[in-house]
Amino acid sequence: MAWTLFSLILPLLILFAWLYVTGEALVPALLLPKPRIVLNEFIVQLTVGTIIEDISISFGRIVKGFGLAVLFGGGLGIIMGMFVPAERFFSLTFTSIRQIPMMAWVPLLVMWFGIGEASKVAVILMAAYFPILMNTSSGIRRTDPKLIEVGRMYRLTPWRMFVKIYLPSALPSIFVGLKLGLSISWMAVVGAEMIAASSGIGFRLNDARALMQFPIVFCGMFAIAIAGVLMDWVLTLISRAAAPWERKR
Amino acid sequence: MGKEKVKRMAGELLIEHLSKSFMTADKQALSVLEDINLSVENGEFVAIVGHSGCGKSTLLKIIAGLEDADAGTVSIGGRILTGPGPDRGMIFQEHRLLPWLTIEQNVTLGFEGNTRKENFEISDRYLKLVKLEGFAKAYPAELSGGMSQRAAIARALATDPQMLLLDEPFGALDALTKIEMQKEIIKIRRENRSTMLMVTHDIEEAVYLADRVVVMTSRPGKVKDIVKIELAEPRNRGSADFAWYKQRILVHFFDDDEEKIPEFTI
Repeated sequence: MAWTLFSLILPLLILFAWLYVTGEALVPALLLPKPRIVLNEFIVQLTVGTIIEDISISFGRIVKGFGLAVLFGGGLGIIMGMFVPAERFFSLTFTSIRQIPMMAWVPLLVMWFGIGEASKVAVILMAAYFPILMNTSSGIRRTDPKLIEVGRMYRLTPWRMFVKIYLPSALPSIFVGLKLGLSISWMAVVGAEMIAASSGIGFRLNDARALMQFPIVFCGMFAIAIAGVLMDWVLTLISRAAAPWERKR
Repeated sequence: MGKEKVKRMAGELLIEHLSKSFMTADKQALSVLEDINLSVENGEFVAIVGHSGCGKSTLLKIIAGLEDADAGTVSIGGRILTGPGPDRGMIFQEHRLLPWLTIEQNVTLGFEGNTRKENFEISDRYLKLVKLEGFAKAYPAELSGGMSQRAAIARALATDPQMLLLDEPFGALDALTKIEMQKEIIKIRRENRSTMLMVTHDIEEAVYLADRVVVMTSRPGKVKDIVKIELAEPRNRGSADFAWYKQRILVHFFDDDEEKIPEFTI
């Protein structure tokens, strides 16, 4: 509880600074609207506006793209972690592709998939794929050889070896990959929507900028931050439920 | 587990002309074990003592089937061993419990396709044996070092192996817990009648527990001497005969005058 209050100090300081700067009119109201105006706009957006819809469109894309990334990245990550030849086979290619910033994929993916749903899902998939893959495979590969010896001593079948030893051992690392992948997906989808889209929170942000509706820009940014924090929090809860032994340490 | 329980006749463990070397970083072959010959009878307790790095743990791992020898064979009752098997259980220096499994799940790790009830009964029986009843649902992180090692012993015993391989099992425990665990091992051995082969660098532990103590030298690891411990049970660590045996083994490691074997005992 004390720590919760402690971590609220900085956000409150920022809010006070914002109030002060806008109250004294140190910056033009057009560039930095007063908090009250942004708050009012937020309430309007929540009640009659489109922000909930925008967020849910973006979130729907995340669900698809991130789901695919978990499936393919996690799957191949497990294979690469378990089998050294697979790791050697893919690692150079993947390390090279990883160097390309996710936004650099947008033009190509738009050319291939158009500006509709498919290109957004593809951008998210590209963005979340590598963190999930890399963390899964390294988590599996870092399994304590001493525990593997225990499994060999009891002659566990390959499947039981995986389920009882490799997978639980890699779980913390896998969740690091999932969290990283999710936050990057969120960035990727907003970015992709700003570049080429006709819906979603990123599109709304860009649209509001073009129409000089700066309070909406601010509302959108807050909404993005809040939604991101919420998603991360849900994933944290899931990771705790999946690894009950971690809390006993 | 009654006292009447008779172990399946496994036959003696026979190690013949066993050699093993490792490649060092600069591509030099380092001989760890050289021409080891040893036999362990059914129900016997043999302790192997030596400096750390003398290859005694490697020897135990080869017997366990976790590592391959370069030359020579290990057999039980004439059957040459090629890998781990249910006839051998291993207790490591660290408890090596899986942190994500409860104590009960750890103890029953070696069983596949058991019903819950069967697993409960097995873990209950062996946790009682090592005095850990009530901890079946705990995670290893909730146990102290000594308790974790007890749970590891229960896990090794649960599959009912004919031979227990102990790799410095109490090396990481404090002195008092160590003594307590040694007494526990004697009790388990009396009830379970399994063959035990223990690697240790603690000479007192070896004399206290073993029927025979194998002294190994390092680099290359060779059997230097085998000492039969003819002391009545229960053994008294403070007795002169006990001290004599300790000295008898210690003298192999230090050749200065202080460590000469006394010619008589009081």
